[in-house]
Amino acid sequence: MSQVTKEGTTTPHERSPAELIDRHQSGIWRYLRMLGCDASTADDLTQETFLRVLRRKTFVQHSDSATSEYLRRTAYNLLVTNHRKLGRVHLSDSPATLDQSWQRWAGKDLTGDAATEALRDCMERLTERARTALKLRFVDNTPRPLIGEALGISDHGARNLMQRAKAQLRECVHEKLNLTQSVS
Amino acid sequence: MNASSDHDFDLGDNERDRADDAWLNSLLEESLTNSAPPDLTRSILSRLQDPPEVTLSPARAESRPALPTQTVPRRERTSAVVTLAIAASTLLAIGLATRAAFNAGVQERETAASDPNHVEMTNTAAQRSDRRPPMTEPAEDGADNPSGSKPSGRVGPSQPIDLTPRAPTLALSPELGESERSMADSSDDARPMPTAPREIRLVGQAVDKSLQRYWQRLDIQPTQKLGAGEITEDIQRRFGWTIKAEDTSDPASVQASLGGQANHRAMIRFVLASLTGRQPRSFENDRDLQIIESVATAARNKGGLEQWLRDQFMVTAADKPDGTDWTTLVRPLDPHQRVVRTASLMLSQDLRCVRCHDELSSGQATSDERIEQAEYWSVAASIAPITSGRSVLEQPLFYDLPDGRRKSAVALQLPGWTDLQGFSQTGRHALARGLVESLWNSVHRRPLHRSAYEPMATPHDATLDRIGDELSNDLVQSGFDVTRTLAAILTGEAFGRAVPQVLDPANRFIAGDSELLNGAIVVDSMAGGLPPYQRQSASRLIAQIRQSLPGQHLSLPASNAVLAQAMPNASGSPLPSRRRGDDGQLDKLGTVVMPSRSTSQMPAWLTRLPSFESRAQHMAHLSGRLAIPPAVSKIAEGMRAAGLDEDVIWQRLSWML
Repeated sequence: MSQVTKEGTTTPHERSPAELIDRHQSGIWRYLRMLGCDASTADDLTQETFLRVLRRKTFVQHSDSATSEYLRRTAYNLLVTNHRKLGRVHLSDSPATLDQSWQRWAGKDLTGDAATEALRDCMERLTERARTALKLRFVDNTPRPLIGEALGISDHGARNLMQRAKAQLRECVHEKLNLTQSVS
Repeated sequence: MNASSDHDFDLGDNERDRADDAWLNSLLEESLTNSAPPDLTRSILSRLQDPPEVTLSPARAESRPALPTQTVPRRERTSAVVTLAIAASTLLAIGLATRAAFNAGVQERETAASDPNHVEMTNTAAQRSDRRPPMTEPAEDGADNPSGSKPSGRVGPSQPIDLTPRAPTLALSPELGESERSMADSSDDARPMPTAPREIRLVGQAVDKSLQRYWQRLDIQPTQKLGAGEITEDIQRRFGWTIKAEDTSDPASVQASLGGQANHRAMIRFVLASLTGRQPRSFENDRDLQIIESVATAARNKGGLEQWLRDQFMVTAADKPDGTDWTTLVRPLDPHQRVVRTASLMLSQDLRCVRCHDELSSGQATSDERIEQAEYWSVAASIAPITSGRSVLEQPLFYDLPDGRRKSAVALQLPGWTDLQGFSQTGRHALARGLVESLWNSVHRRPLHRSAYEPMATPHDATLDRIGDELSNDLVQSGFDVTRTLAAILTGEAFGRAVPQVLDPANRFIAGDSELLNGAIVVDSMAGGLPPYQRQSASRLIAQIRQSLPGQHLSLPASNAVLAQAMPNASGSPLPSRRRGDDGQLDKLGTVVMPSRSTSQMPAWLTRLPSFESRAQHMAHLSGRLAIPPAVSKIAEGMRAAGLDEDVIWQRLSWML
């Protein structure tokens, strides 16, 4: 079994296919979700991504971060090639920009687990109203005017509330990730 | 937090913030819905053990509508002379190497042919790719290089190919670079074609295997197969062909039945209807009947149908001033439909969207995949002698540029056309593929090739391409014997399946949303039958709703209920109509064929269109029509006025159109 640093930057030994999948599947799945895939499409494309790469005889594992980047590019290209429906998430055209964003959010552990954990903690800091608004938006897919109605505020009010909540979450998650990194 | 970090997380409109916002949204959704990443290890490892079933990757499937290197006169390739010169020099340079590689492949293939089992080997062209430097960017082949920025001179990953005896499809592989592809194309022509096709039973088995793999991948449980008697009745009712119940599971017997006196003309009528997109019953004037007769006679001989098709597409205006049989057959269609249908069959091109758009609306179409608006009009001008009987020299074809200028379409010598004229394998395969996909679509009423632009719930997959390959290769080898193709389709796993219970008319109001969606997925993936066409009066429909939801107080405004279930009365509608000819009037009938709730997610591009009218118009274009029929338009407006969810409206429209 290879040894991996916390940052996932070096792998002295090649990982077996099972180890490789285990190490990177969460990150690739989340990356695809970030690109706008629904959960089922992310499942499919994650599988296709690993199959593509593992069947490639020329594939060499230099490091976890390089492998992760390689997998992400393959996943991105598969998604683009498949022209799947992108859902509501706005997809940037530039893989480089997406990679920069990846580094900020999930690059610390290559899986996004830390960011997800941090986000869960940060949700607790939000007001009840903000949490309700986000739940209505992300769990029930409630249209914004109806969210406003449910909270007794206007459409714009609901938008501002969610924007402020998300800005707060971004900042909080970022602080936690930076803290984790500096501690490690 | 430092300054740059602060900046990173500032809200704003720039691209980086949008990407960050997308991250936050996806993580929020995951956290709030508890949808953590699944453990796919076992599934991936299990699939890794399977021999790759990919002869053509999904990339080909998606790029197939364009096939730019073979059929589309691209802007950068407007000069055919330059293209030919480049291709010729490339061929000279690497021809010898290819020949050696190909000969080695043939030798191995001949060895393998003695083994009745399915034997796989490594693609010789792909083997060369193994020599490329490791860990290059994955953007080097069809799937991995959608940008197509560096296609030439590089080949795809090592990939086994199927060595079952069939015509080589290597030439069409997207895993090859452009030069390799053209090289393989030319070498194809020199390849000896197998003298006889495989047993039709084996073709059917290969198709079924691919289909089962597709269902397995989607984790779909197909519904029960109908009994032989029910299948016979279904074939008789839908196609007018008489096939004995005991023959329904044997492809050879079905083939014999279709070729028999009783069925042959009806089958040819069906084939022509499939190719032109017309209803079989619309072939009723003397000229149409004469054409059916002549095609039926031609199809009796091996290669006869292929020759007839070539005769249609190789004509010039000077040869036949009034056009060909094909011109007559597509005359009832609107001009856009003529171009779409002709290009689909003749050039394997999907031109539905590019009449108006340079770049397809996902924004992801790449330079190598997209066809530009000007090219649509070039194709339209090129095939004008076929579609209208007049060349653009006699009758110029004008189109509007996005900036308002008007331009005359220029006819070009299309590479795909050259393939057809030259009787090359590429041309034959493109023609066969177009034929197979049309027949599949007509029999199953669901397309074999899934475009991302259609409201289709199940994704495209390499296994579906493989089905197309199996059938089109068999069609080529059999000399375009369509009875074989139809026999394989009719006796296949996908045909004659029961309607999923949840979509049964009796259950549609009591089924839950997820059940309904699963049922729709089963149908979309061809693992279940389509709900039957059936009409109901509005009062019965309302009674059924009340019966389905006992104990609930229902206040159903009759007008809305009727309107929501109204069906088109336009002539040419695929749905049955009680008051035919009353175009533009809403038929006050409910019909259980119409979805009562949305069962598929509409494509994102549709939701981005600015208005309801625009979305309706695009649904018409997607069906290959220039405009939405007036009666259907009225129904759409009516459903909108009744407050129906737009997704349901578009789904219904797609069923109607």
